[in-house]
Amino acid sequence: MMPNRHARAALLGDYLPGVAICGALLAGLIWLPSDNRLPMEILLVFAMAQGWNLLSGYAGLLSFGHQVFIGIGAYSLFMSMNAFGLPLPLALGVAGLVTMATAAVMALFLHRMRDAYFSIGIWVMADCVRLLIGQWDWVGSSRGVMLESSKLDLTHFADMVFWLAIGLAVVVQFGVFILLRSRFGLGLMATRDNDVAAASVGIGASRSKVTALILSALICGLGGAVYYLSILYADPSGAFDLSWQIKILFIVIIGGVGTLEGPILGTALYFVLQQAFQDNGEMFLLLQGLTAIVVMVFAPQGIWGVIAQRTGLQIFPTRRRPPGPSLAARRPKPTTEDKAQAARAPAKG
Amino acid sequence: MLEVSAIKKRYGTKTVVDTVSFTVGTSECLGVIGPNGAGKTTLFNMLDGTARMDGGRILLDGQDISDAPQHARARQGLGRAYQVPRTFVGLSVYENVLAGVTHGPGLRGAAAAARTMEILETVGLDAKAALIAGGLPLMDRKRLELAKAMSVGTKVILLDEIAGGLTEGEVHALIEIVARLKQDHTILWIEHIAHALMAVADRIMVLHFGEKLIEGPPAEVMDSAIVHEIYLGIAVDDTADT
Repeated sequence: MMPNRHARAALLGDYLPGVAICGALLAGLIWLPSDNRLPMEILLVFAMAQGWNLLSGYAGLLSFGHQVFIGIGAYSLFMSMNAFGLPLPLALGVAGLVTMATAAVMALFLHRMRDAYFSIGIWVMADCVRLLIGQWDWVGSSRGVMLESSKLDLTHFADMVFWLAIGLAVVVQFGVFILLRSRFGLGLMATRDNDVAAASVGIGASRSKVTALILSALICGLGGAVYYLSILYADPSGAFDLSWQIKILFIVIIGGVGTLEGPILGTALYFVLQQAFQDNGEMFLLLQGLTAIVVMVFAPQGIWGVIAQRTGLQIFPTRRRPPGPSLAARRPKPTTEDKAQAARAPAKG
Repeated sequence: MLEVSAIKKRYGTKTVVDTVSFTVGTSECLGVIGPNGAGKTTLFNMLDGTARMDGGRILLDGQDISDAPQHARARQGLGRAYQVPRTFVGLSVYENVLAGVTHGPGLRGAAAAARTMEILETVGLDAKAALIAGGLPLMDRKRLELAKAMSVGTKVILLDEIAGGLTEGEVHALIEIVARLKQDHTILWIEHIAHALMAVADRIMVLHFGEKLIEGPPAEVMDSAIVHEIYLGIAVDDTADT
């Protein structure tokens, strides 16, 4: 179906604010800092947070175990370069595939669990994987693994990793946006609200959730791969650390879970706090906890959740609008006969 | 056309639905009545796949759907309105119905939008299309529940006590909607409001402790000695209400 001019204009209107704001934020991250180490970290953490939000905010599965995907992504990148000598682009592809496969295997155990059972289940599994990796000699056991950097072009390394992070963040933000606007996205959100009712209107609820888990894992896997690529070293206690999950959780809950704008806001707030109290780690943790409490008490739907509720503002609009009144007005008032005919028509389906 | 033969449901040692069979054709409405705990809702749960059966067979237009998962039955044109509305609370009223229209009959784009608005107009929710469904009062949620059943129910529609709590005028409007749907649908309707069923149902089936006691023309069933016996007291209250 060809979209008409009106629909195309509406589509442009839906994308324009998001593109403008992301463009401005990226420009700031690219031009303002003298060193792109911090911007890279910000972008990667943001991408992972958005990936977690896809599962927890839109599929309704609150995960406490996403650090496993970050670690698996990092390790599969390292091992496919170290042990199999794959070039970086290919190794990134392998990292993505291995993470998705891990999520698919975990889904076999998790797909019937809901609520707290899912949260605890995935957490336990994540910890099992961390312990296994710590015992496995081929991946360096608890000592961790260094990336053999002989094949990497180290002169432009920092820039390359930075641009990988930009690419990932942009693809994730707009990829999730497009996904949520699709039929799949509508089915996913319906499943989140009521999985039995979702199945009763023809949505493959279980499959939607598993798909969301796998995509969410892919995002965190790639985020982890790029992050550990930048430091050339990964170990089980770092790459599989629960603190990754806590960071992501904080960002999304503060910003607004189940909104696409929330993780952007949350990431910004997290790094502002972190930078402001760079030399005072305890103060940073204290303020982080305090912020979390204040937001959860006064705005449980997150900062963006409140803004959206008060103003109806959407920078990344995922709501489907009913056809406007102009459209309805143009239609002639249906006669009784028309109505009877309309009632008969759907039987063809 | 829905053909149900000898379906059964057990919870532990208790048989909740025991070897119930019936057939409902297109353009036909079967009313289902029975005291609380008779197994009416469990029967619907087995028909739409919310619950598994412990025996028996269900044919939809000749096709065996006994083992089909719930979402597959919906895609084959079976819609269901739950007794307690199961609303997608985070979605708008429009999106609640659109989800069914796009996943069930698989309509897309403008056709899906038009069909969704048509359903919302039928149940009287078109003016509230853009509202978030979680904020709707109960009566509107019941209307939305009917709309969701219509969104996928191109062949069969199961209605579970959708008239409960409506005003007399609203019940009449509902009867009109169901009568219109009946023209080209197979309809099963569980309802305690007797006159609503009498107005639309072609036959009435009585369930009691999971067993089918009687099935026949509405007037005949309502006047039968067996219905008087199990409804003694209950029927009097109902007439007092209406």
